[in-house]
Amino acid sequence: MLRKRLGPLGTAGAIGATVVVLVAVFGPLAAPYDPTAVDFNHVLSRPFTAGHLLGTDQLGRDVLARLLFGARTTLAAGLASTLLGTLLGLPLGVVSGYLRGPVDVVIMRIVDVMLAFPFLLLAVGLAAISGPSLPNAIVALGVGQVPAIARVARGATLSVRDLEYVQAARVNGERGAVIMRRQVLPNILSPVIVQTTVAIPGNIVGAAILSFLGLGVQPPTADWGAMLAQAEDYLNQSVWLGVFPGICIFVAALSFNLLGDGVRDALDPRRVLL
Amino acid sequence: MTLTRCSSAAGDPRKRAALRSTALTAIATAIPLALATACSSPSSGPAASSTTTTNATQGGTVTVGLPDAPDSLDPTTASTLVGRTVFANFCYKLYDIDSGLTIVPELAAALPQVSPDGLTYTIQLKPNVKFNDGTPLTAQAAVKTLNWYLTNPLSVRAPELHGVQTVTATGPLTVVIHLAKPFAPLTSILADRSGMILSQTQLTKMGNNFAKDPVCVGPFQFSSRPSLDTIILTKSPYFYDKQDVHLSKVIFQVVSDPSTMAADLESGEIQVADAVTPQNVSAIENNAQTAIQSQYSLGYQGLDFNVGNVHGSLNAPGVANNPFAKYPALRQAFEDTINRQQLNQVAFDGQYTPGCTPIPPNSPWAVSITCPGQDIAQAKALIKQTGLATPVHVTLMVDNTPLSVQIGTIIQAMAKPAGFDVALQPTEFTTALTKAEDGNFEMFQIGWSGRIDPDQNIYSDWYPKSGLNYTGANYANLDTLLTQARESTDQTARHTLYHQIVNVLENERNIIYLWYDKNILGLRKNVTGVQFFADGLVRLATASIG
Amino acid sequence: MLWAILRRAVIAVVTLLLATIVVFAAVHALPGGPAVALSAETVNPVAIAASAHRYGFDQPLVVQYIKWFSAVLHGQLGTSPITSLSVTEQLSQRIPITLELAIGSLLLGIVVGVPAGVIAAANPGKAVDWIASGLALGGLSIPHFWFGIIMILIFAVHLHVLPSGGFVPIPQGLGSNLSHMLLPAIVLGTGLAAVLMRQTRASVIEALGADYVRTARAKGLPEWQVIWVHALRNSLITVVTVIGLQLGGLIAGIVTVEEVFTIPGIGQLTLNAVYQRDYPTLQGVVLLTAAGYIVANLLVDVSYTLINPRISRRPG
Repeated sequence: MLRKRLGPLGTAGAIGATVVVLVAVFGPLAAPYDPTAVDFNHVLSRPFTAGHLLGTDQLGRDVLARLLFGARTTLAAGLASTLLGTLLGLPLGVVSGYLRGPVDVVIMRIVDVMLAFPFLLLAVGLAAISGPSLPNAIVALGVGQVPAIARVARGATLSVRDLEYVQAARVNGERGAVIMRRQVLPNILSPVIVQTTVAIPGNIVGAAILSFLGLGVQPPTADWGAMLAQAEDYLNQSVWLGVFPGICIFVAALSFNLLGDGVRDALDPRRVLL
Repeated sequence: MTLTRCSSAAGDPRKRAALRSTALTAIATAIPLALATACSSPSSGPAASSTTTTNATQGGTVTVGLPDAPDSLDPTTASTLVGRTVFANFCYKLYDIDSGLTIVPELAAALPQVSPDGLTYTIQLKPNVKFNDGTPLTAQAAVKTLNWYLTNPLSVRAPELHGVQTVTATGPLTVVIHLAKPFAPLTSILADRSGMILSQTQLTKMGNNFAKDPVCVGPFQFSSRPSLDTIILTKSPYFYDKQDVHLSKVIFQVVSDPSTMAADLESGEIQVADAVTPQNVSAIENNAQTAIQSQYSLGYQGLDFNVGNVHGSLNAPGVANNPFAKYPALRQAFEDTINRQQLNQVAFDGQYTPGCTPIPPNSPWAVSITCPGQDIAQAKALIKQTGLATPVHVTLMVDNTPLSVQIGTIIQAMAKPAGFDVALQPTEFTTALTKAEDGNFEMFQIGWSGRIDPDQNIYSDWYPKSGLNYTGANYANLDTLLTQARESTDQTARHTLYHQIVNVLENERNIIYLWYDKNILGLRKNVTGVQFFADGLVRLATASIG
Repeated sequence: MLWAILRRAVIAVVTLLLATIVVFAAVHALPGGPAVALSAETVNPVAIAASAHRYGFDQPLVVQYIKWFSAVLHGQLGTSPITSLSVTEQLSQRIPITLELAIGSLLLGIVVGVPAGVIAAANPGKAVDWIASGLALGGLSIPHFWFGIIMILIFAVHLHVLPSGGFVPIPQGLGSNLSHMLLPAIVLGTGLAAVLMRQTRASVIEALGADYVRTARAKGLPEWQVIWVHALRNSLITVVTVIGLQLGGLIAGIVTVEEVFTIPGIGQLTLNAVYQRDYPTLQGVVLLTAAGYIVANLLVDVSYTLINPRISRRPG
């Protein structure tokens, strides 16, 4: 049934995403080494050398182990920031769309201002104030997510607020907050879910960008973006160091993109919302 | 183990900016006072300059790649290393250094005459020298420049010239400097930016905007700065040795990514690459048209412990609230976990030099001691003696660039088996400096650009209430030694004093010195006559391109 | 229609104003200051204080903001305490570079993405559709900084056909300028092409099922005209919307690409300004970016009304 709703590609995406999540959760248990264990006698070993399926990096750490543990941090960042963005943006959009008037204007201007600042600057600023860290990266990405979710939520709220059952609830004297929670929210789930799912791959890549620039997880924690940053100096001889983490990010983003497509096709086939 | 050296596809421009602007700003200073013969120094590493041929090719343009952008082109306010490379080609100083790290006269005619009490310096200027706007170099110009450095509120040269009371001209080419207290490093200071003499006509015209069109004495003159990243110099028609200047144009171009710089050198887009990183050395050496010149530097890199910085480095030290401050033996334990050779090998492909003093081995002032090796057993024993529970949790602040983070990771890994749990705190550079000054850290991996005079590598770091005394050092016996060494005019006495000083530093371990960077220059083989000394500056006065 | 544009313009200005306040406040919240970055070597309190006084950093924040703002209104963006160059000078040097990169990527994205989407929509389910859609999905999922590194590895390091980074101004050689811009524009344009392709495909498919298309076909218009002229024209709105929405991502992408390819543009300037606490430059740059973004969005809104005069409201 899922396959029918999601379509073949969407199902493939769902499977891929599930695999990625499983790897993130359970992969570290299967890791052959501690991802932070250095071995100065075996730096930059090629893949398939004894004991290291995917080789070692410039400090002798096992690449496979770091990829497995890296799945955890990259995925956690991507999912947590999406969740944060939704938690912040959804109420903003709903309140704005429901109340309209001056509240709407103010909230939407705030959202516009947020839109004018790329999440990158926010991440840099946070890093400069309280040091780069995974939480800071998540906040930066999540806040960067807010305008899109808020707009979608607002648009969807606008289209349901004048429907009969909502009018009826208002006439009955129900308070705005209750209406928003009970009537509006359940009926705008579709576009919100679509937007949320669609945002995940962007945040996964965004998290990788931030740790690539040194603004995310801190060493020695393994992270795909950070691994790419460190690999840059060694690409001439040890190409694999720069290839494997990139492939991982690509596969994760691809899976969630396919999943997002499937979800969108299932819930919003007319693509009214972008 | 095959540790191969590779060029990278892309890098972090902040890395270079951070390393260069503070930690490695090598300001050349000179061996103090006039006793040059007594200070003959050992060779400063592999061939640093090629000889010029009298029939060198005339004309041509050389583009020099710089790792980051020079800041202000006004010596009054300049503070970057790359800026000094540019200055070295268009803004000559009273004194300079030669390949043996000896101070030699540049705009001065000879080394200064110093009064026996060390309070009066008399400097003769070279005759018939013109600024690059045609006006003559006179004692008046030198006096006005030095006073400008001393009194202009924006001047960052003033603290370097501290102790100078008056500067006067007692003849058309005679300058007299009077000090309040003897200050041995003064001549070395005049062999750096504080000794750069500015055209008075131009200074009067431009004032604080001198950087927009600076005019000094030099083989090349400032032509234009079309962007922050590009500086163009052209051959000066007024230079006193212009017959020995071969190039007609020099372009300084910022290429902030080290591997792009290496690639540009190999493709010929640039002809000189300043600040080549260890990972790019082999690619340049293996290319038939390029070569590497490697030079010792004047500075050091090490680990600062916050021992006494409780109210800020400029205020009176106290006792910091961390295990390293409370248990000095813990600092020794930490030093025992570090294998300096391995650190150099893994992080820098063996290209740099491990060490444990603030004075690099090529300096005539080098104090040679045996560096402690890695001794995990002793480290464990020392920790046990302190009674602290293992693992001992400590934090290490590093610059937020891949290389510094890597170094921190290596130190972290080395300290672990002994019972230290090191938490890395990669911190953006300016923030890190603020925190260091405020005493808001436990360990900080930081270096110093270095000067020739050992006083300038040690005093500001260890003397209480000095700006760079991040560790809050406060040792009365050391203070006495430092002051004596700074004021003494007796070379031999100074050598002895610095031996004693280094021994105290090794014992107290507020700073654990770890290695000395090398200045690595990349050149295309058809560029000759480039003078590259341990101060890391690229001098093109006698260079030519064939 | 004019009212709508005017209203939008006013909103844009208000947003810009708010943006400047946010920037100003945020920048000054960063620890340390330009004096710290400048005097790293000497920590001379006198020089720091003098520098602070010269640039007015010792005055209350509100005063500083007002002064800066009124200067901006006169076209003065101040002087960088780090480099002594005027902010306007630095910006005017770098804007053309980033603009070239941005426009190049946009063009590439549009030129590749839109036709691909149309072709795919005209042949739904066939091989060409699968290939195009697959490539688009790939382009969407690939992290562009990694893509850039791989491109550099292949084309610069191994094949030696393209430079690995940097920038050559046009006066110094158009060919060299373009060869330096090619990889960065490709990297940046790929994501946009992917999004545009998918969006165009969806819109055109939908348009092809509409009445007016059937009418056009019934009239006997050639198929290519039906697709490329009629269906596409009505899909342009969504295309333009997408471009508008992608602009924000483009800005972030520019910063990363400029860093990977070491292009001396606005992105690089921004990062450096943050690290050096170069307040005037940072304020100038962010102001510029926000203004550019707001203006671009304004243009998107205006082009809506031009493409389809019936629409005077942004959808959603």
